[in-house]
Amino acid sequence: MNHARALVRERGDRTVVELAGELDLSSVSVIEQELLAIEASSPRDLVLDLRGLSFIDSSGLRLILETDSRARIDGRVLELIPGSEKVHRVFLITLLDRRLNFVTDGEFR
Amino acid sequence: MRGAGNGFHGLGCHHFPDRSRRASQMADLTSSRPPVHWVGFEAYLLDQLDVAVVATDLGGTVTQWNRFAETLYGWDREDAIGRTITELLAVVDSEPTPGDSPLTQPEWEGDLHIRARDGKAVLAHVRNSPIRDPQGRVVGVASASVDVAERVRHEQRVEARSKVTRILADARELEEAAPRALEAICRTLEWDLGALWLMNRTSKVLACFAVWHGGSQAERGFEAASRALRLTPGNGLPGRVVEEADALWVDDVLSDPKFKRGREADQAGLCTALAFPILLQGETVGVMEFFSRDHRQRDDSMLDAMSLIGSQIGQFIERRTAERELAGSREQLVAIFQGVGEGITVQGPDGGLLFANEAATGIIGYDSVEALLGAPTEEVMSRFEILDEEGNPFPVDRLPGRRALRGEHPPEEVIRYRVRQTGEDRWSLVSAKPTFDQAGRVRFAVNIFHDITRRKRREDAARVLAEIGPALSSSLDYEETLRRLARLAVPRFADWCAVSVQDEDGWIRQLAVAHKDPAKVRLSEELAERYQPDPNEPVGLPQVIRTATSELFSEVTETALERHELDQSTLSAVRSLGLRSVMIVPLVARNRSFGAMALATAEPGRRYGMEDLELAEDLARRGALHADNARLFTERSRVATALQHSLLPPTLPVIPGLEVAGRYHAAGTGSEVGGDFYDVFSTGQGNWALVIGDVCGKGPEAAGVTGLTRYTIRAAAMQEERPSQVLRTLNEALLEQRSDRLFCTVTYVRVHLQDGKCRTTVTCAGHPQPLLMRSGGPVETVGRPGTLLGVFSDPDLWDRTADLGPGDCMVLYTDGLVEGHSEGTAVGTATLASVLGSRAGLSAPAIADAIEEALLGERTTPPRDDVAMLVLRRQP
Repeated sequence: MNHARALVRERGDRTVVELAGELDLSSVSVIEQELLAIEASSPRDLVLDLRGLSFIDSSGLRLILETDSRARIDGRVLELIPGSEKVHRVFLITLLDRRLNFVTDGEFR
Repeated sequence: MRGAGNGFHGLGCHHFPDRSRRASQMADLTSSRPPVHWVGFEAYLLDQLDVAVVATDLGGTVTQWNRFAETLYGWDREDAIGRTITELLAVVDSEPTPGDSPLTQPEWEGDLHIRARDGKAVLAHVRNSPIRDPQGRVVGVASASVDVAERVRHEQRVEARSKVTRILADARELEEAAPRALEAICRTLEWDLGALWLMNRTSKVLACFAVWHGGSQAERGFEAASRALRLTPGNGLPGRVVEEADALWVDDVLSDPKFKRGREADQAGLCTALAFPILLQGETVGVMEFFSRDHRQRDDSMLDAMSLIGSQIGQFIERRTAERELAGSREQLVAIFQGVGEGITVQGPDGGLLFANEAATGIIGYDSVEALLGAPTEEVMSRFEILDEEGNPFPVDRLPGRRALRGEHPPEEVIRYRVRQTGEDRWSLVSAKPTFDQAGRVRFAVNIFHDITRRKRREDAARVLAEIGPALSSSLDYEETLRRLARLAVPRFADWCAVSVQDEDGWIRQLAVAHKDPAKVRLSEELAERYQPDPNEPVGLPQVIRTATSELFSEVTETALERHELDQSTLSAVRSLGLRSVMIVPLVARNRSFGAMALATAEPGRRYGMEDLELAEDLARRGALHADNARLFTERSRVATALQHSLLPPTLPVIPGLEVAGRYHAAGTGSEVGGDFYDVFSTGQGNWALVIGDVCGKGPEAAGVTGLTRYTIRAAAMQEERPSQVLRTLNEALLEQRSDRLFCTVTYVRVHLQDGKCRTTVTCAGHPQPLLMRSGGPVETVGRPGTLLGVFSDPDLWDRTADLGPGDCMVLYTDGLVEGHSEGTAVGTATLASVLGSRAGLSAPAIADAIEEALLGERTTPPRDDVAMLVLRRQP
């Protein structure tokens, strides 16, 4: 199993969390704890970079939706850098590409 | 014989023990000399004798006085002759009345203390003979006397030594021997006070160890003063003896300025002292001192005698010290030998056991050390089959002990030995060492057995348990797991093993039985059928299950059977199968004892011990855990399947002119309720609804959302025609009732049959678009992606219509169908499309089968996600 991992780095005034591996039921709770910790310790805007993900299922989707929902409540910006075609397809089918704040890496810079 | 003159002072007032005996000895001594005939003897001849010869007439007047008499009594012949004998020689130890002196008796013999001219008493053996005239009339007395003082002193010394020897021989400790020896020396050699001083070998300080005296106040004062002293070499009388390493004779201690106890000695009236070292291999270990109230002259023979006594006492001290050390070290050794867990034996050159400690006795299997040492070697050896670590016979000649007896220094060996009587295997790390005598011959071999049975069993057990883990867990079937448990226990742990479980009603049912002899399995099963254990029986199996406490019957004796320590079913097994040793261990999982495993060895197998019980408990624990897992799994699967089925239509409705086929595969092992669902139902007047959806997550939570989704859609579909409206209603319901963002994705297809037409309206809410295969045409997607439901209050949803011609086929599916593809979702989707394209003309169920086979058939593992699929086909 290639569980999801999160690599956190600071870029400019944002905290970038690079997700890698498979984001599914078995790994969401770990990533969720990391995200909650980051949010609790930093008031800065957050970027989730999904390019390293090889798989995402509905639990992963739910995790991103909840992170987005918290960001809206906290008044911080959550941006997502879309992942591979396979991963991004999930966002297209669910139309979440319209609901979430997807940016390209270029835009982000 | 030396003359008198160096004799003792003060002897006269002492009595001689056993005078008559000495007297007769003296008589013999003198009678061995040539007979003396007085008449006509030359004075010259008389003077050659070392015997004092004095002749008197009947009136006692001295008529003859030879030279030795001059020496012995101090009177010159000239002075003596003519005077009366009683005037010259006073007898001090008899009651002399004038005219009645023994010296004037014509026939008398005995020892007499006779006062010599200088006043000293001479101890003389006197023998009087009558002097007769030629007519035979007695005319005088010839008295021959010899100085026996020296002889008596010698005898006294001999006696003193022999007394001391006896005392030392009888005594166990110096504390006991010393006062008695001092007393014997004092009494025999006529000293008034004796003391023994011992030197501390480390500090070289002398202390008074024992004193003997007559018991007067003054003597006790002297004793106290002595005991209070601590003397270093050179100080005090004993210290000077040590320093000079030689005996000292002090004529008068009061005139010796170096004498420390002068005042006390004065009060006790002590005068002369003799002190000598107690030597041991040249080293002074103590000093003995003796005091006399009389003034005594230095007596070298006394010193010689004392030195002999001293060395005797020295040897005693040495021997006792050595014995005590030996006893101490022996006790210590024995304690160490007995205390260690190592078995220690000592073999003599013939291989026989000379020594064995208790651990060795236990290892070898005897009840007592005595029984082991008393048993012949052949009997001891015949109890075992000696094997190497792998279980091959181990040549007796190669045993370390045997090799050591041959003078070799063998390496340590792991010896496995099977106790013939019990069949039990034990392991020992055995080492042996030879001990040689001075001639280089082997005196004995010391064997050390380090019992490693426990370690070996643990290793073995760990290996077996490691093996059985996978064997047990590979079945997800509860009963099968327990049957495997029984099979795994035989023959490694038991000859017979039965696993029983208690059902909800309390009945105990034997689920599995295994016996190393397959023929006996049937017998065991019959027994189990015949003897249903009473669950309330206070013994055996029911008791173990009830209390979750193991029972061990190391040896199943007839007595134990009569006492009903086993329940009826185990009892009958024991009797019919000839079982020897039984263990019953509970099967416990999640703090509940749900059964028990009984293990037994059959005659003449080994007896179980605590180690075996622990192992059996371990085995049972694992077995119980795996069985419980299997049961949980089974139960959960059953619940999940039931729930899942409640979320799926039991049968699909028959739609005129259309074929519908549904497929569902739970993810993984099917023990969890999946989130996928589909539904097909009529909304009335030729309208039908096909729904397929996927609820985020799994388990009861997801099932709840699935149920909500399914029934909300059914309800809403009765009110709303437009699928997007139905789904909006669902979205609102989800948002209202669920705050946990358990979203779902749904594709809703409304089928409207009218006038030979079949129009579909498709709405996708976050769900993959259906595939539409036109008869003879390409495969296309229908519908437009819309927002998933349950998260946003304003989902973007679109209704798209597509008409189905005869033979046209639409496939609704969930992600699991295409995601599981080994080459990815896109390939999965493409495969689905191509399968669909190539199956034109097949019925809906046949198409569903083909898709399943193409997309799921290649898998070796169950799908990771649920898979649901609906195939709708318009009949051609």
